[in-house]
Amino acid sequence: MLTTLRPYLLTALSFCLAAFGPPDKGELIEIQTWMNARSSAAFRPTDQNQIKIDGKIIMLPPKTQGKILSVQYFPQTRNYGLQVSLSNSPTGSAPVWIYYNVKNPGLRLLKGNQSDTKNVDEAKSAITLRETLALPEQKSAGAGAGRGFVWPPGVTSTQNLGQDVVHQISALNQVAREQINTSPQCRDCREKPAQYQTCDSKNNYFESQFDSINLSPDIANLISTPSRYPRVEACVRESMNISGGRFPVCQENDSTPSKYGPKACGSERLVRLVENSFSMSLDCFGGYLNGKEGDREALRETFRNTIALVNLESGFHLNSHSQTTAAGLGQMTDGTTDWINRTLWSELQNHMIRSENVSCQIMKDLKIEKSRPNRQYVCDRLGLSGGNPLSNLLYTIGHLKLVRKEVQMVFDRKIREAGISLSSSERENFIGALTNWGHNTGAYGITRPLVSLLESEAGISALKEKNKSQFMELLKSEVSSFHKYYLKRQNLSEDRIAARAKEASEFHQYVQNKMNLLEGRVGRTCTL
Amino acid sequence: MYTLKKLTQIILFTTSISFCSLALAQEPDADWNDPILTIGKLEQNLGQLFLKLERAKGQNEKIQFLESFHRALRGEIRKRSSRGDRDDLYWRAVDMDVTIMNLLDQKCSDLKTVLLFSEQNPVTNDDGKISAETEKALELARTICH
Repeated sequence: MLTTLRPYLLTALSFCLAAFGPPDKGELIEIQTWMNARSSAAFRPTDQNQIKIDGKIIMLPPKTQGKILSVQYFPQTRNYGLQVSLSNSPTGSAPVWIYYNVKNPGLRLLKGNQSDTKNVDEAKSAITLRETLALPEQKSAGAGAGRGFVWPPGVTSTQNLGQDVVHQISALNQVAREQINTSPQCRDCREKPAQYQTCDSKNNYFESQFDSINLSPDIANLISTPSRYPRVEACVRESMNISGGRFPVCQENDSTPSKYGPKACGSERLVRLVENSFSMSLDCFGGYLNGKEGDREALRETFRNTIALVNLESGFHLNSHSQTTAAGLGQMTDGTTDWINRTLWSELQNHMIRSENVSCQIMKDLKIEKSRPNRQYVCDRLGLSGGNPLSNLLYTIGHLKLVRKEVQMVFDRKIREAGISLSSSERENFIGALTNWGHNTGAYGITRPLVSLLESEAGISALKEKNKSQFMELLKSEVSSFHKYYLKRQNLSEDRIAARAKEASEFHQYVQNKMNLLEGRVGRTCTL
Repeated sequence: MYTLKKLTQIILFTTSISFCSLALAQEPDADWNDPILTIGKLEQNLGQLFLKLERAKGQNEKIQFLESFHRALRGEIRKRSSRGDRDDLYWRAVDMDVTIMNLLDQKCSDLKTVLLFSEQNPVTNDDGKISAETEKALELARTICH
């Protein structure tokens, strides 16, 4: 009898074991109880790696969903750690680690939704992991048909674009919104996004300029056109809200600020100006920056990385000015501005002229002038003249491009040497974050530490696991050590060296923390 | 029969010739399989590399020299990285590693700009002053990209 029953018993045992096995890489899970989110696969109470925002430990609420990126087994407890990419979490989209107790999991698998499942009959539910357009993209046969945009009916070329820019931009934005989001509000936000601010007599200095009859037509167009990407607009608005600093006021025709004021009120017109300028610049130059023209996944990462950088540097306040010469949306210094003028300005102009991208076609007809790289003309970077804030964004993108040339070369060669393969968006995620870091350290100050890390077992291991947070954490100490070596040779004082090594090594963390704060408040990832 | 004086002269003459020969003899080319991470040897090897590149017959041979040097350098860096060494010598070697990679992988049209711009940062070096190491890198670049 036992012989007869054995196969059934074995089968039953297999099912039992499978029922208590861990979820697998690629599977989707939903958390059913409040859980800690950790930055690494260490779950002891002493590990102190719980993710925090504003110094407070963030708990993942029930119904948080995510996709498993990797699984780590702990033989002593026979439980597991799961690295997950969360789709609706207050911690943002950076992967986190959660604990999987086999006997009391606190989460459930969403059956039939493995990422490589193609059998629709087996699927019991489906979750959208990425936005898909409701309408297919159409490419016009006419010249100037851009990638990623659908021309409104009747518009087949850019020949008449300059004649009625407001109408054309509005029409394009309307189509973009209908495809991506039917509401100008962020309808899938957890929290209600910040409202536009009401201005008072102290913080309305941009409003006064918007009302001036001398306002440039290009600025007038940008402030009267509804925002290109409402989701990006929500992030721009909230970034303005949460950011402080020094805010000099440049009036019309000023070359240096006439006074300092409070931060400008985040009015609808100002937010539109900044968001339209930002989105248009990234639409045009995203592919130029990441080298993957037409790759939407890479573009999403590029958008997100650039939002993270500008969020930290200026909080999207176009007249933000540091104690040094750093000014404007990307905090461009005199030296950086001069470098771009000498080495990259022509290349940026040529890209706008030659690209078929619709945003480039619009930008090439706008009056975007070179900024003068001196304190005496800092209003070029802070005010509304000369095509600013578009010009400051061009300089920001140009600086990122210059830094990226070396960062990308080092990263690509080292992962090739180590035999590591990354998807387009994973690669862009890493390179974008490293390039942002180089915005502060310079290419030299990030490439040398990067090489050191990628010649170590720990660094290679973190990259193979695609554990970006661990990788960046390890990179911090390399950046610190390198800067101490490098600055010692420049005869700086010990205090100055220590301060700069600390600032340089923690720059990525500053970017990440403020982005976590921003995305937590907006309630979603800040990207397209 | 030689007198003592003549013998002494012969011995002195022979010894002088020997010393002169030793002095004039060139050091053998550094073997890049030898450990190269002492400061003196690192710079010496860089000098040797420069000479090899100048004398190379064509671009392919230059690339071979660079790749060979790069492999030797990486091996030394990996050993030291795993030990946790982060002294001046280590970082000089890492800097050289990046320089060699730039020479191998950057397009000639970009190489000079990349090298000149690399040390610029908006906080401590806004003007983008270059160090002696970058000057050497630029010299090497001229041997690759005419």
